[in-house]
Amino acid sequence: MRRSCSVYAVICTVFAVFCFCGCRADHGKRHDDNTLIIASPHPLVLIIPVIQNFENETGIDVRIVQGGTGEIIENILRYPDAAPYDLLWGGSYSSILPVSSLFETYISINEPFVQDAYKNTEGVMTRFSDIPSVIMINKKRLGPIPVTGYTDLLDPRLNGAIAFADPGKSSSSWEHLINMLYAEGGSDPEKGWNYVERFCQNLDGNLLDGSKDVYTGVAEGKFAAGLTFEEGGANYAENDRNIELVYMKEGVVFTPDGACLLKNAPHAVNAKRFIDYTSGASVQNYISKQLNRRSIRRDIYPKRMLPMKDRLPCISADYTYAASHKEQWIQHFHDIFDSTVKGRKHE
Amino acid sequence: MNKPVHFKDEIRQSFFSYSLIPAVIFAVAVITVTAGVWNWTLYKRADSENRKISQSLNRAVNAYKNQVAQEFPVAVSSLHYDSEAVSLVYSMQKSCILKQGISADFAVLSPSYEVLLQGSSGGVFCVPAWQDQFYWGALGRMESSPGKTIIEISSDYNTEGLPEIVIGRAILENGNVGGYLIYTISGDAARKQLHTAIPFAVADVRGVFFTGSDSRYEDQLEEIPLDYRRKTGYFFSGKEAVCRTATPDGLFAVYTFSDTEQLQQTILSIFFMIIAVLILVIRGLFLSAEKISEEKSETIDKIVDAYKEVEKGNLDRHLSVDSNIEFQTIADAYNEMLANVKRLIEENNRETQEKYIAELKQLEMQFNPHFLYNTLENIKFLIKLDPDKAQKTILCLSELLRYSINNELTVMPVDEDIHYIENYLYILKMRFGSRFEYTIDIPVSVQKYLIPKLILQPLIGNSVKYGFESCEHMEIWITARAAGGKLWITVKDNGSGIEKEHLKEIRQLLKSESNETRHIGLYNVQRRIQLMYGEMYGLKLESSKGEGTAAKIVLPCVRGDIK
Repeated sequence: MRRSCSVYAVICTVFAVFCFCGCRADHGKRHDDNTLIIASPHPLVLIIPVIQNFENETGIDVRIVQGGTGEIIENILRYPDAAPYDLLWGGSYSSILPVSSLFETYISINEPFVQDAYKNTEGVMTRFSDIPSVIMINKKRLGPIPVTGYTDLLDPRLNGAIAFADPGKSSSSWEHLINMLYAEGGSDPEKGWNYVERFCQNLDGNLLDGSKDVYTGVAEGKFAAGLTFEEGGANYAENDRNIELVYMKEGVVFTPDGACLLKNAPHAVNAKRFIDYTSGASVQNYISKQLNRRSIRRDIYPKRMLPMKDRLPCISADYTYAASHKEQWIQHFHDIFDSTVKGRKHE
Repeated sequence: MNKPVHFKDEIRQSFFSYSLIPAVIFAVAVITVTAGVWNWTLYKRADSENRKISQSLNRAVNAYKNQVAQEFPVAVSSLHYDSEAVSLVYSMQKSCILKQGISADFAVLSPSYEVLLQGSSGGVFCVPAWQDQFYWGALGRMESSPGKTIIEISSDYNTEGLPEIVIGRAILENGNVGGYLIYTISGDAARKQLHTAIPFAVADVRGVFFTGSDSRYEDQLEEIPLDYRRKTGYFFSGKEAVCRTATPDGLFAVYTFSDTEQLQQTILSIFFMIIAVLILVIRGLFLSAEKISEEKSETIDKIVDAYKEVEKGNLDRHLSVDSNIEFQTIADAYNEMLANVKRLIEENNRETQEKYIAELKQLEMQFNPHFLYNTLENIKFLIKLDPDKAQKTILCLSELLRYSINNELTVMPVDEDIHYIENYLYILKMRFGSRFEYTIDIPVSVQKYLIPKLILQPLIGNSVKYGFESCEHMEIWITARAAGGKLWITVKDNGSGIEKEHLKEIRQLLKSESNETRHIGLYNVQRRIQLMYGEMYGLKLESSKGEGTAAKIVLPCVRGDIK
């Protein structure tokens, strides 16, 4: 019996060796070399040229982790001791503000060139671009229905044809929710909920998962109108005559996004270099000349295609207030949305 | 530790250890070597292709790099109007390009990025409209560092936005930037001209994708997927073996890929086949090992069995072995030894038998001379007083003597022997008259059992000898019964009995094997019975002073005719 045992031991060993040969694990940690790990919700069309130029300029090897702002912040919160990234690049002011304790204070060398409204007053967020919320429309899909602002979205003919993402998941939707509340409620955002209820009715149970679904949905004609951010829509509007951007006549809220250095970032030096680089003239020029973004610098103006900010019905939102009510407002939104879904089911 | 094991088990075990284990080791070795050789082949091919790509690319890039570094032959601004200058520059660049294994396009730009001259095999060199407004991309870097040749992968300068290797440098005229000379190698051209036999990809050292044989080598970030960039050299990633090296100038990374799925599948199928065969072989081995070890140890078992038989006392087992000479020698020796032992035992038995018969004969002859003397004395008186009785006494005595000296008889049925005992008792009656009485009570059921002849005579003689010591009258009872395969014959008297001390002495004597005392009669009875029937049988004597003596003999119940 002892012999046969050893025979089986040999067989098992061989088997094990093969199993392990098959799955050689690679645990290459490269914290000590010249790299930088950036988490970003930005679109690839922005990420790729900026990163490639940064790499060519500095020789730093950048690794990009793409994801929604909420997803990235969740991931940072999951590892409080060892930061999984060096930098969060993107994410709107109102979504960064509630979690500003996760980030390290850093003032970029380009701060003097930044517009007064977008100075890094908190210290943790160097502004990157200025983003208005817009309604993106597909004229072919829309037909004769006029869309000039939020009120027009209540048109029953648009029932189910409006693309809107869950504001709990998409920061551009969250901005739109704030924009709606301030545009419809005036100085008191709580008065705006009445509009939100009617708006939700017209969504007909459609709530998308991310901002990308909104602009691609409208571009492909799945939806007639979508609530998104300027760049998301402008990239399509630039090349497709059917796509247009509508700046809400009730008022447009401009929100800056930014770059934030994580606390205990493994490559803090490189991350600071990146913050300086993206707030520098080259990148700021590039995003406003090549892409459809608005620079936060005083010395750079947007493309001719995009209307100048001073010609738009700008309204301001109280971000401190909005940020402190984020959970509550999103919950409230979900409750309203869910009730419209349930209501429809009962019919 | 060394537990005794059976020869059979040992053979079976060695069967396993010398056949199965080497087989397993061999199988493992075959698999390992196969995998190793295969892997080595993959590595060699991937490595050589990798070197080839690396060298061609490096040679071309170096050539274009040297070309841009050369002094520009004319003033850049003259390209606006001087056709000679145009053709000079054009032919110079084209001749450089034609010498290379990997072709490129070239462009000459004015300081404001206007394309003054380009030599292109397909695409058009185009500069973004905003290029002169801010520093951006490769052109921006050429502008910001005029003394330096810029080599990088960029997709900014063609209409399709495809990655190209851009090799360019600002042309310096009197210390100012007079224009730019730029070579671009398109990924498409490189892929076609590298003539690579296996899947490959080229990227810059930070992973930005340039060209490759398959779209899966480019991810959505326009880089080589991270899995292929975890290590350098030859390594495995998923179902591919990756060979990653940097070009000699350290600017680019060349990846060659080998599909290892087939290898893994082949190895796995070989492995499982071997497992299956092993399982069958093990099953077969268990059966055949049993059988073979049984066969091989059959002779040994035979020899062992034969010795066990000898141990039990059976000497008739003949050992016949028809296998090896060694075993035959053992068997022959065994047989000879057994024959010798048997012969010796037979000789010994014969000698013992002879001795025993002689002793028995001698013992049978133990008539007391006193008895003859007394009888004859008695007859002497009877002849005068009662001639008839004298005649009968003589008859009895002569019958008794004839019976006693008949050497052919050793045993007699009880009834016949009792007849002669009655003769003896008659003689005693004649001698002692009314002082002596006897009763014989032999049931019919025991009358045909065989007993040694005249075995009772010494017992009666003994009673007479001691019984009359202090008694005037004595009676003797002779009884017999059979129970449990044994025949009990008792001679009991009511004479004076034997003293305790004396009785003890006699009993001691009966246990010993030789007699030096005068109690010849009783001892002879005991000796005859035990010689004939064994230690289980014999004589028992019970007596107490003044109450008579009982002599009991125990014999086996044997029926039969006397020959």
